[in-house]
Amino acid sequence: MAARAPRAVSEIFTTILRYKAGVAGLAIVLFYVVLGVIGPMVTKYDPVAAVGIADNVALPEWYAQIVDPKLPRNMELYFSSWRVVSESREGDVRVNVMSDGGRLVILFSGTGASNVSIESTDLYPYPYKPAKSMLITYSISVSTVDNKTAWYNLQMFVVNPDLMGRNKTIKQGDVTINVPMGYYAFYDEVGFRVAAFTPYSKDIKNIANQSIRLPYYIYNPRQDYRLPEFVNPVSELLLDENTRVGIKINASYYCNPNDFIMRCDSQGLRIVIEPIYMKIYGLAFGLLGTNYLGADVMSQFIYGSRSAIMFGFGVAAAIVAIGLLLGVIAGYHGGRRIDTLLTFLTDVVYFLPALPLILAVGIIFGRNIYAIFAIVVLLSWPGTARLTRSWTLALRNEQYVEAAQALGASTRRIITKHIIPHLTPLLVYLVVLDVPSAIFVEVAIQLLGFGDPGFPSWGKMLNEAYYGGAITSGAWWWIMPPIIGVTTLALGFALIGKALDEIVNPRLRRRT
Amino acid sequence: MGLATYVISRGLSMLAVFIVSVALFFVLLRVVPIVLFGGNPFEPNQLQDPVLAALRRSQEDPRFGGWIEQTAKTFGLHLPVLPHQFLIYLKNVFTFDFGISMYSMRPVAQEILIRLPYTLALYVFAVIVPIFVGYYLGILSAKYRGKFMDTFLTIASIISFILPPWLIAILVYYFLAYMPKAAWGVTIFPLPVRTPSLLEPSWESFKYWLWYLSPLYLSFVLALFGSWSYFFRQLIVSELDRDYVYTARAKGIPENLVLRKEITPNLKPPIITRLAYTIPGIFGGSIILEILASWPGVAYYSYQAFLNFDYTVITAFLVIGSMLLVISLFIADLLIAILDPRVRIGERR
Repeated sequence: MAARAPRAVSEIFTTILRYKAGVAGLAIVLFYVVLGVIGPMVTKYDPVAAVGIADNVALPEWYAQIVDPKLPRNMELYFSSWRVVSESREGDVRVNVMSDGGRLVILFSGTGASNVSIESTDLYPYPYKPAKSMLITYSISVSTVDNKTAWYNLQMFVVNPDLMGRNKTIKQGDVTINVPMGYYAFYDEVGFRVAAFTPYSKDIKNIANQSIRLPYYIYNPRQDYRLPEFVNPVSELLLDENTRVGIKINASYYCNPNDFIMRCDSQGLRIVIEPIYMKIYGLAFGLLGTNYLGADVMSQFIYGSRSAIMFGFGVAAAIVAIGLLLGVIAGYHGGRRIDTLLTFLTDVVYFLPALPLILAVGIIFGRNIYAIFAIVVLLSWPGTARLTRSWTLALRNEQYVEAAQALGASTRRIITKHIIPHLTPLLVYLVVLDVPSAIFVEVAIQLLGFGDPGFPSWGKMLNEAYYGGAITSGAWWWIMPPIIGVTTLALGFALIGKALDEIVNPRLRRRT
Repeated sequence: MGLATYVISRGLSMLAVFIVSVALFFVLLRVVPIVLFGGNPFEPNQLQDPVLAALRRSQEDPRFGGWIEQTAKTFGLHLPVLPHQFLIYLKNVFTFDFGISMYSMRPVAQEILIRLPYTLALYVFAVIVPIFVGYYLGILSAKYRGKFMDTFLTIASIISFILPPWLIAILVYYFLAYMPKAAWGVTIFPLPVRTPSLLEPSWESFKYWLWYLSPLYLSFVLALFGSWSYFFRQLIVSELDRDYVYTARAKGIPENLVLRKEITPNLKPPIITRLAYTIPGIFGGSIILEILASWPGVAYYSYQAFLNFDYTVITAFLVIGSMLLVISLFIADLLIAILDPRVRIGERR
């Protein structure tokens, strides 16, 4: 009898493999299992935390090749070598610009006023259509040589020398403005201060790895034009096909000991600028594009298959374990008090409204995947328990069970050695049926926004896509993968279940 | 065992199930939060009681004057949660007194009645139409069993069976509402943006109502016909080599009539059992679809109540849902016992 269980399992596999549907279903399920197992090895990005990989709602790369090959791709640029373009001095000032190892050091010394303009010597060619946004990371430190007061201003621009000198005409209501193209300030020491009325600052700065994402709309009184909010400076003013991108820095210094208002007692000022990093966000990326936060959809999909398989099999195994235990005990003792009690318990749980209770638990215990797992298991086992109970009731009257009873075998021994092995095909069938429904429940909970935000699943993707505007922006590469994933996985299990139907319902075998 | 004994024993066990479920709701919604926040449910006026906290917050607002005393009296909020409030709660459940919504300050029954037509409009169609579609497709499938038509219908049924209505609704919104409009400028279905209202009934608003519901109807039919048609097919096929079918064929009755007139009457008990599980869904069965489509039905209202932890509404929703399920299963048992005498004589299922 002990050999019965493995033989039943191999029999199940041969039955599945005898049908085309079973083979197809097994192939689908295995595909997702393998995808889930190798997931962390083939994906580069964290499915939850990694956002801003490319621009928001970027197309898949292969799809962009078909639709619009000139769509921008991700570009990462480093600016580390510099040259002085122009320099002006008033009074007794000396300017010293050093560029060592990528770091730019501007040293003003003496009294008077000075203005120096520096440009990056690397001008990177930009071959695509205009991108919509870019990220610039910079580190600055400004200090006086003797820890006293000096006045200065520092401006940094993204420049495009090929577009410089041209104007863009923008209509805003009845007002038409001409905006100069080719440069846009991403850092202005004084200009970003709304109430500034002097062109200089005396703050000592030490900024490390500050990032700014353009378009960054801010009221900038120093910009010689006001850009309306609907105009994207990156795509309208800075980038165009086959042009070059660079960085320009303006530094000015003012220190006059005789000035009553702008007092100055320092002997010099040092500005240090680390190499500047610029990322131009692509509108075409990867195998499945990006979502509304610029996260990689492919990684999310692969991790989603991992979560779906884990959650589905976990829930199904737990359901079948609980259902088997209670069902077998109730069935074996059929008609006695323990059976009545267990059947009553089963009925109570069976009649509880599942989804509202899951929502209630989500509100009370917080949005936690373990709480969801527990409540889904606790509400789903009665179906299995009922089925195993009725099967055990039938098995109890078999002759070999009666023989074992007559030989004085203990209840536990009869249940584990004689009844459960015969239930194996049924249990496999129940697991196969429970996995897809567990996955669908998880997806539904996530879709309603009651899921675990840290659990990368297809449901979370679907929730973000549905409420994040995937439908109205036509982003099929964002909303379709979770739908296709959950559908095909469920289909795989349904096909296996159909092949297993014959073992569980032998009546069907004779007829087609 | 006679019919009366059977009915009474079933009724008593259903009543017990109902009382235990209702007690579970109370424990989950009332006792567990207090214990979680570190209070003691056996003492009155716990600081950790979320319902009392909500009440205290509203007490500062003069508009809520008489409402607070009334709520406190209805639920006995000044008494210990266990056992006093529990007993008051049981009394309220059996007298259908669900109190007043903590959020809108209107009676819960009134709030639910306002929204019931919306849910009924969605769910009655969703229950009835797939049965007919499934019945005819099931008969078709059984008639051509083993042929191409049967294979095709079986595959379609399996796909329809595994897809839940809300997933199909998303697909319908994408492929039939958004895409035709974006690609060809044709509007077929509306996106769930402007929810219709029933407040001023007119022909125009009714038309908009139907149009707004049509994607939901479509997804319900597509999602539910499969399980019904597969169910009917399997039932009919399993009846096919019974003696009475052979007799009917031997008498020369055409195959179509054998399927419709001879076999269908024997399918009643399983159909009634299935319907008994479907009908209570009137209350919360379409909860996901109502939320996705922002359809202002009862289920959507309960969803908002969950988000606001509107204790009275949540309780009413769970209790009424449970009650409907128990009552409809009881009626189903009754009908089956009348239709099929074997049930009440033999052992319980």
